[in-house]
Amino acid sequence: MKSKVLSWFFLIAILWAAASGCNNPGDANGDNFPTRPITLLVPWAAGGMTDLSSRALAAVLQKHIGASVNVINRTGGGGVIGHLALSQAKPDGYTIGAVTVEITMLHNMGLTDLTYQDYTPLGLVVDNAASVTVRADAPYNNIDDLIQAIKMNPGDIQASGTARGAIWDLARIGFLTAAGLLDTDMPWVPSQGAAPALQELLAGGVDVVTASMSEVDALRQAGQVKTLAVMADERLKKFPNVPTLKENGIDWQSSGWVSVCAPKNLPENIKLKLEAGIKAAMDDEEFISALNTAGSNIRPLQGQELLDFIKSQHEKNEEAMGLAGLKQG
Amino acid sequence: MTELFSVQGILALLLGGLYGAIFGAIPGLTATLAIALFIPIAFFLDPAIALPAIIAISSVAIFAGDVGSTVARIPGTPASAAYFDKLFGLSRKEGPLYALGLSAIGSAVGGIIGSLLLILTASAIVTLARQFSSFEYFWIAVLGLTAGVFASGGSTLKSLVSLLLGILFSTVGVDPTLGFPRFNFGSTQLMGGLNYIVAMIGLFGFSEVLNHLFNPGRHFDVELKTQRSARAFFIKPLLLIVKKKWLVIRSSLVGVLVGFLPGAGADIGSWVSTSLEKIRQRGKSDDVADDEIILSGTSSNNAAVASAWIPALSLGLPGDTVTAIVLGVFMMKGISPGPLLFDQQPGLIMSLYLTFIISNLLLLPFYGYLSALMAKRLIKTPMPLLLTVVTALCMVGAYAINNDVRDIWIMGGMGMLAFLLQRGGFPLAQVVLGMVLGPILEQNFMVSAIKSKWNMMSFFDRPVALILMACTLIIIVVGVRYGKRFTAGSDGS
Repeated sequence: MKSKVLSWFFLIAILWAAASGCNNPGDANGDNFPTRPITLLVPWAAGGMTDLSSRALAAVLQKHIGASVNVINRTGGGGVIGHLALSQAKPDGYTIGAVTVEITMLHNMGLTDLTYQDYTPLGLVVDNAASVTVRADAPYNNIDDLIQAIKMNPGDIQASGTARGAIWDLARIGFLTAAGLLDTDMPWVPSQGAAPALQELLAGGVDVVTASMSEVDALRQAGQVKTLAVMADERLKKFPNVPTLKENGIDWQSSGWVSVCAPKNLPENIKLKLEAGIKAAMDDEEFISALNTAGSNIRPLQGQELLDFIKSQHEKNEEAMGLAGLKQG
Repeated sequence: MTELFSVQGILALLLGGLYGAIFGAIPGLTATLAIALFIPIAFFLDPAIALPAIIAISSVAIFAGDVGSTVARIPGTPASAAYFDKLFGLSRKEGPLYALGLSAIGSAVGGIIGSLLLILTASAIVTLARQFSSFEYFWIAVLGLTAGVFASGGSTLKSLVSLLLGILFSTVGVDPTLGFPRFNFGSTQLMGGLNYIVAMIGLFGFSEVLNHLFNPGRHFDVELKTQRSARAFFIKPLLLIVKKKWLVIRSSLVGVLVGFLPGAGADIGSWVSTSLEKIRQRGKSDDVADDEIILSGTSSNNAAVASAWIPALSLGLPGDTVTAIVLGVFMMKGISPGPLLFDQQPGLIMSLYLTFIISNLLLLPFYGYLSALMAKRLIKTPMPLLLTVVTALCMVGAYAINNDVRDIWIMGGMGMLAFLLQRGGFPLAQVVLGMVLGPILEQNFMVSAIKSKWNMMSFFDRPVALILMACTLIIIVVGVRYGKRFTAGSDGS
C-alpha cells in the first residue's frame, strides 16, 4: 500500500516537472541570459549545406555566448516542419533556428502561412549564388552559346537541381526571363537535390544544373563539369574566373541563403545578446576557415540590413514564382 | 597513415566500434543517427582520425542491428529487418552465440569483400556509375519490389497486398517531385510523410509487445543449448561460410552493387540479397534455409557499407545517408572528394582502406563476441521486464528520429496495424520494403517521364535499363512457376 502511494507521488512529481518545463524562474527578464543550453533547430537533413553551416556556427557560437548550443534537425515537408517548429517555440532565446531562403517561397505554394514576419532575424550566415553549370564536354563555352542553343531548339535543353518550384528552379526561371526567354524554353526536370541532379547531368539525363557554386565545385575541380556563369552581382572571391550573368548583360541574381532567427516577439535585451554572439562567432577564424573550405560564401548581415535583404528576397521570389505559374491563390 | 597507429587512432577505432555497437543494437537508433551525432566531435578531430572512427562506427552498427533481432525479435537498424525473424528463430534453436556468431563472421566476410572491391575499383567504377540515370534507378526499384513479392515464402497475393500498403504509406506527405502535399489531412506533421524507420519500430517492435499482451501463454522457453562459447561463435559459423562460400560471395557482390547506387545503401542491399536467396531456397527444408538466408543478408549489408564509399570517394556522390554525412565532414576539413582526392591525399585514402580492413577483420568479431556474451544473459531476462524495456526503447527510438513526440503515436498505430496484419497472415517485412522503395520508384518514374516528355518508350531505350528490366521479368517468371510448385508440393504432403 505504502509503495503504491509513493509511486503515485513520484508520478505526479515527474508530471509536474515535465509540465513546468524545468524553467528557471529566477531570470524572467533575461538579464542573465543564457543560463542553460540553447537549441538550434535546422529544417533540413544532416549533411546538407544548411546543416553544415549551422553546425559550424553552433560550434563557435557556444564559445562566444557562454552556453552550449545543440543542433537538432527537424526535417520534412519541404522545410515546412522545421520552420513551423521554430515559429511556435517560446521566444525566450533558448530556441533559435536556421531559417532558409525557402521561407520566402513556401507560402506562395500554399504549403504554409509562415513568412519571414513570423521570426526575429538575428543574422545572415551564408549566401550561395546559383550557377549555370554544364557537362565538361558540352558544346557551349559561355552563356551566349547556351542562350543561342536554347533559342535554336526551344525546349530541347533541360535543366535540373531541386524539386519543382524550389530555389534552383526559381534561379532558372529568373535567368530565362531576364534573358528574354520563356519558362518552357529550358524546361525543369525535378530532382531530390543538387547531388542527384549532378548525377543526372553526368549520365546525360539533363544538360544544365543551376545549383550553387559550392555544390558543383567538387565535380568542377575534377574536370567533369564547367560553370558558364554565376548568378551574383559581382564575381565571387573564391571563383574569380567564373563570370557573372550581369557581365553578359543579363540582370539577374539568385542565391540560396541561411539565416539564424528566433521566434517573433523576442525580448530586446536577449536579441542584442544573441546578435552580439553571432557577430563574434562569424568573425571567428575557425568558423571562416570551416565555411571557406566548404565552398560556402559567408555574408554577415544583421539588424535593419538583414531585414531589408529578406524583404527584398520575399518580393523577388514571389514575382518569379508568379511568372512560372507556381503561385497558388 | 601514421596517425592511424597512434594512441589516438587506436582509441578512436575502439571507442567508435563500441559506440556503433550500442547504437546499432537499440531499435530506432540507426547507424545514420550515430554518425550524425558524432559530427560535432568529428569537427574537432584530425580527418585522419575522424574518418576511420566513422568507418568503425558504421561497420559495427550495421552488424549490431542483428543483436536486437536475436534478443527481442526487433531489428536494431533497417538493414537487419530483411532477415530478423530468421535470426530470432535461430537464436532460440541453436543459442544466441551461434546466431550472432553467424551474423558477426558473415558480416566480417561480407565487409572484407566489400572493402576489397572498394580498394580495387573505386577509381575505375566511375565509368559504370556514369551510366546510371533515373531510368536505371526506376528499374532497380521495380526489381527490388518484384523480388520482395516473391520473397515472403508464404502467399504471393498476401505479400503483394503488404507491399502495396507500404507503397501507399510512402505517398503520404509532400510530393517529392512537384512539391504538393498529399494525404496529410491538413496536418503539418503528416506533411513530412511517414518515416519508415518510425514505422519499422512500430511494425516490428511494438507489435511484438502487443502480441505478448494478447497471448500471455506464448513462451520461448526452448531449452538453450549449452555450447563451448568460442566454438559456437567462431568455429561453427566459419565452417558454414567455407562450405557456402559461393553464397557468401554472391550475396556480398549483390550488397556491393546495391550499396554503391546513390540512395540505396545497406538497408536495400540486404533486402535484395535475402529476397534472391529466399527465391532460390524455396522448397528446401527450413532449418538449412534459415542459416543461408541470414548469411546472405548479413554479408550483403556490410558489403554495402563499404561499397557506399565507392561513389562518395570517386565522384563525390553519396551512396547512402552515412556517406552523405561523411561528404559533409570532407568539406568541413577542406578535402574535396572526387578523382582528385586520389592524387592529392593518397595517405588518407590508404588509411581509410586500412580502417575498413581492420574494422571488419578485428572490430566486428571482437564487439560481436562481446555483444553475443551479453545477449546470452539478456535472452534469459523475464518476459515482463523485457517487454517494458522494449516499449521504452520503441518510444525513445521513434522520438529520436525526428525529435517529434507525435512520431510516438505513429509508431503505436503501426504496432497495432502490424498486430492485425499478422493475425491475417500478411507479412510485415513487405510493408517496410514498400515504404523504402516506393519513393525511389515514384521519384525516378516522375523524373524519367518529365525528362522524356512522357514518352514511355524511353524507359526501354537504354541498355542497362533493358538488362534490369529483363532481370525483373526473369524473377516474375521464376517466382510464379516455382511458387506454384512449392504450394502444390506442400498441399500434397
